[in-house]
Amino acid sequence: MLINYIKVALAVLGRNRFFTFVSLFGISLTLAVLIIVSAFLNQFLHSSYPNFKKDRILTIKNVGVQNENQSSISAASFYLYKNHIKKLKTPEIIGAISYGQQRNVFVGNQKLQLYERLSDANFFEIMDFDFIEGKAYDKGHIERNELVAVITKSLAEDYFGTAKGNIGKPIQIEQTSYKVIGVVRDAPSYNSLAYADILLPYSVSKRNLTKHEITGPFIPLLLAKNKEHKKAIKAEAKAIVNQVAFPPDAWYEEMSLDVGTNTEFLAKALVNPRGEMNESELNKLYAIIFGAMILFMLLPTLNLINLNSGRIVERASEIGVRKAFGATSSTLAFQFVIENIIITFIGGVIGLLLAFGVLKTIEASRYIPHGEFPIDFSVFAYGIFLCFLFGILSGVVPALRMSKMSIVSAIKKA
Amino acid sequence: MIKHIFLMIWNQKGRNIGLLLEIFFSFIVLFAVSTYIIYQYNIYHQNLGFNYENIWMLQMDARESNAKEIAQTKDQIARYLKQQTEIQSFSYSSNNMPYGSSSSMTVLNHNGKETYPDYFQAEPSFLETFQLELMEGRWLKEDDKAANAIPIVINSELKKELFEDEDVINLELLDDEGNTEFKIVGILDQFKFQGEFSPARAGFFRLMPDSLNYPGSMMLKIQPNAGAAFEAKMMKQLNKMAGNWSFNISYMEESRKSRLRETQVPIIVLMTICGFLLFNVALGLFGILWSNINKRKAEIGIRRAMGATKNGLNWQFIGEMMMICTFSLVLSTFFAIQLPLLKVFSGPPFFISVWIYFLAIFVSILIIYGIVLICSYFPSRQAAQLHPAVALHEE
Repeated sequence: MLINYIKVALAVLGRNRFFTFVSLFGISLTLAVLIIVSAFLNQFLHSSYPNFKKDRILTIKNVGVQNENQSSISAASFYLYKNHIKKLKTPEIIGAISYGQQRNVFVGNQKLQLYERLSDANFFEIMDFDFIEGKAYDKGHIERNELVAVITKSLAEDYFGTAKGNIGKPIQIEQTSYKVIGVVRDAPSYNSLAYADILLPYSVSKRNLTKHEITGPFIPLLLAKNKEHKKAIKAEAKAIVNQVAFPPDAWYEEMSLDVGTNTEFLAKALVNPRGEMNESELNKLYAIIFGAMILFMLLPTLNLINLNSGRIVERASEIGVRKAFGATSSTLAFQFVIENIIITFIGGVIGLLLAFGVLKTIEASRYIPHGEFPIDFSVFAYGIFLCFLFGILSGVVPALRMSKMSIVSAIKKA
Repeated sequence: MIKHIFLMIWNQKGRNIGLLLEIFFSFIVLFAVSTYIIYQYNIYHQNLGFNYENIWMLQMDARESNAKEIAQTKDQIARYLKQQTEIQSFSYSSNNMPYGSSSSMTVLNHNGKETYPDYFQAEPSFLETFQLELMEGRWLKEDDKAANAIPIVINSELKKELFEDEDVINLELLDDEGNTEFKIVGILDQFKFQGEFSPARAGFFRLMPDSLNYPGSMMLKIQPNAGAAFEAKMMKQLNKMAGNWSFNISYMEESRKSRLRETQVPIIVLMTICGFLLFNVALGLFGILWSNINKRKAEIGIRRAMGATKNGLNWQFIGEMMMICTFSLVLSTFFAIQLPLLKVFSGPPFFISVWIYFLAIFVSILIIYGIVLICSYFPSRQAAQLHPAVALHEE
């Protein structure tokens, strides 16, 4: 039965090349766009190399100080990190990474711009970097104030001219020379927690790290065991604001901070950039994305419905004959929906190939440095689901109209 | 004629409702996208107010926080930079500088009105470094430091927001407690430091005080031919003079490019997606009309036999499509026009003026009519070309 439907569907496809082109063009491009967008969103919002622990990493951001008239918002100071955040009891691991700085390095007369960040040793336990050679710095390096560095593969290639065998070589940044102890695969540029060309232990900082201040350049990272655990960590971290002592000459009287996963912060920045952070932004963002996708699918679907219902006449003779031989309206409607789903699937496969090609081209173009956009299984499954939805939506209306056709008029029209 | 076309549409209302909906949603999508693009384009063409070419932005961070020591080191650096022929002009400044990531705001009151302008600190040479456009009064001078009320130069946006038509040169502004705080000495056109794609914001400049316990930033206007070699030499010297400061240099033209890209990329993506949707709709319309006309061969034959001309027939089919299109556009314009009428997003932070919506509606209507006309012309002509005998033979 199903095989018959497939045969009929293919025959219909071959009958009128122009209509086949219009249908497949609409379906495949719509699905390709949806798959590309979801691959991007998955990377930007959800997780990318090297933070594979995804939703378990909480960050403390928007550390602010204020009085009645003034407020200033930034990240955490090292003082705050060491004396308060590091002493939290609930997180499994606590680490920190600083916001980066552009550094100019000269190789001969050529200038290289690098993005330098400072971190502690725990940072490498929270992030899953792929080490090409060497290893990360540990607590010992930091205690001994050693000038060591972990660099990326692309920096190794630009600076030393080779990706391998660079362990122990010196790299000169401004007036200081650091010893390379590890080379990692580059993190994509949109990964705000891990993107850097060179990672240095925080102890090499030129800032006075012990200075009593609240805001500074550090993003504390708190690793949770699971979802439930996250709530407890959030509650404990938020309570810090009541325990911190302010420096005696400070102009501010209060402080504030937000705790959340990176996705939650992104959602907040997109949905509610000015207001206070609460827990609902992520759901709101998903609702907006879902709504936008449905809206985006609406036009091609309407187009297909219109096209399909206009074309029923082409098949009037078939409908008339089948009805005359006793096929029920529902059988015919069912057949038509199945046919439509088959066509949609063909379009879907083309769309998937198209999306794959576009994503590979974007990766190869290096427009987004070190970006990787795999079509992972969840995106693929999502695409298949969309095919179904699309097929059913654009098949039902024409199918109902077709099944209502009376035998006489159907046969007459032939 | 119009009545007749309406009757033809009414007889096919079941089928035409689909077309109606399709055009309706196409319009809505087109309207949203064109509003966004016109809005951004309009902001882009507002005066930027400064020249970003050949400017290096040097951010400085000091380990100590002693105002006196910092001022001494800054003097030393300034003396060194003055001797360099590669540098045309330079100025110390606050950190909220063009295409950067920081901003700084404060509150200003006047006659019970309150506003939150951007707050910049600079030096007398800043005017030359950025080639700012002064509209009235004068720029800041070195002896302003001794003045009782801090002299400030405001931008035209702040003038508009807080003072309207008042004459503001030499006007003194009071702080919360009623003491004189600032005195306006000049008006600048604009200083859109967030870049071309950010709406003009109120802001003002004052001299950078000597008593700061952080070094801030430095803007350097360099000769076009100075390159990496000079930069390396300068950085080496700076690090020698201020050993425990950290310096971070960025080229303003590069920062500008990446800032522009943040808005350009979404516009390109939106236009591509919108273009694809419209192409899809156009192909669909074409297909629908074609199959509709195939179905109406008998009618065409009779019309031709009764004396309708080819041209008349052609226009009748186009007219039918245009009427459906017009219905749809009237309906969708009714919804779209609510936005300017209710002044949606006309306040902060978007400030979308009413004319932007109207222009977007106009552009969308034009594009939709264009697409419908093209898509109905060819199938209609094909139908009109049919020979009456062939057409009637179908019956």
